[in-house]
Amino acid sequence: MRYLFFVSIVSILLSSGCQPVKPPRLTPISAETFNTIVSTDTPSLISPFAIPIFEKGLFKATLNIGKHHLTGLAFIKKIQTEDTDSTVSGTTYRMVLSNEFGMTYFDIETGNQSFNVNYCFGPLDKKMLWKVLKTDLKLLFPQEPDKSKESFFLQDQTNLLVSKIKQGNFTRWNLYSPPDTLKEVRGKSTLADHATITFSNFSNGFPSRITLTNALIKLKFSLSLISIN
Amino acid sequence: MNKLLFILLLFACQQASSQNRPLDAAAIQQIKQGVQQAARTTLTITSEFTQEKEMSILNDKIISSGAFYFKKERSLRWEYIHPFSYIITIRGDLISISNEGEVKSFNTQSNRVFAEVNNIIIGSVNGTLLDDNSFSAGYSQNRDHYIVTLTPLSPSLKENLEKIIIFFDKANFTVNQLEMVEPAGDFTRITFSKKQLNQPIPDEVFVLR
Repeated sequence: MRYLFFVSIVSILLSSGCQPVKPPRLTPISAETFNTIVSTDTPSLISPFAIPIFEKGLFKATLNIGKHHLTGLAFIKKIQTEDTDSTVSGTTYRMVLSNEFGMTYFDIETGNQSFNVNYCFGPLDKKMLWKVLKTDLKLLFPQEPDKSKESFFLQDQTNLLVSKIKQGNFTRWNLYSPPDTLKEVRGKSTLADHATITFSNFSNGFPSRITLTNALIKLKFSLSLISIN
Repeated sequence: MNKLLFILLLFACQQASSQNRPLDAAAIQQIKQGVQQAARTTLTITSEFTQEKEMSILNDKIISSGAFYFKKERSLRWEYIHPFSYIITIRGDLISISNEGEVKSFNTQSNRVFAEVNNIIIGSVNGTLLDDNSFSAGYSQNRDHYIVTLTPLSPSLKENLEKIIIFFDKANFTVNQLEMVEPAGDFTRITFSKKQLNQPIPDEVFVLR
């Protein structure tokens, strides 16, 4: 029985967690080549939201984790922190996910080196779940990449430009449709938090639909834009 | 001097009338009876609503509005119109959500927050919430409302809700306003307006396809 359980776990990890996060068919290109095609002046390079002036936004949200189905609103706000004694400094993003009636599911704040769960609704307050969600949600928000650790590629057939960035303990792959539209972000830090974020339905340069998936924990988090400032 | 005293007295009277005043046992009993009587005679409610979620730390509000329908015993329809369109119907334990033409249905038990909010809304409309053992109740009034403040007693409810404040219309004991205060201080205020009682509502209103 114990053997069967072990085999099941290994099978799940092999079938989903071990899926390569690296996009296929990549040919390395130089930073210069990458920069001539992609507009480096556009902060979209470091913003999954592909918009430089994202201050706050309201989204319809659907979060499926396993059998659990949550719906509601996600409010995201950029916060500039001046306090150097704060655990979170510089630019951070705050996301509050609540149900339609306003009751909060979770309230998180994430920055380059930080990730804080300010509040979490009881049934979601699981240490293991948040260990995975931490990387998944960090991928969702703009980060300042360490340029020295960035490498560039051209994807055959699709002609998408790809940048690989090492951020802390996880690797992030950004897939761009030239000149400045971020189509997809992939990343993982462990076998369990392999996540993919897709951006679609662009309107005025902003993706109206953002979908985050993590196959291993059967997570699908969808955001549909309502308003943005 | 007299003029100044008059202005001060007037100001004090205004303050007193706008503040919530606690009620004695007889008045509390009167409210309970009034709410139960209203619940017995209210078969349907059609109303507009405005919902404000105030996020204290972010210093921001999310304001939405739409139409609300209630039909005895346990049918609700929340139709959000602004700033997004979204319909939620609740029939017994079945929740259906229509979002951009796509309808999803699930049981309230798979979503505890939804189940709790559902119980609060239904309980405040039919009056059973006032005698719910899961809450301790405090009663007060202002000029237009009887105000019932419910504080959760169970640890699991306390995790999500600090208190619920229900404003009952003094004229007919129906709910005019509902505030749900969360432990972090954020709160949601739902204000009902243009209420119509006991107007026929077809059952189809509570069915999403």
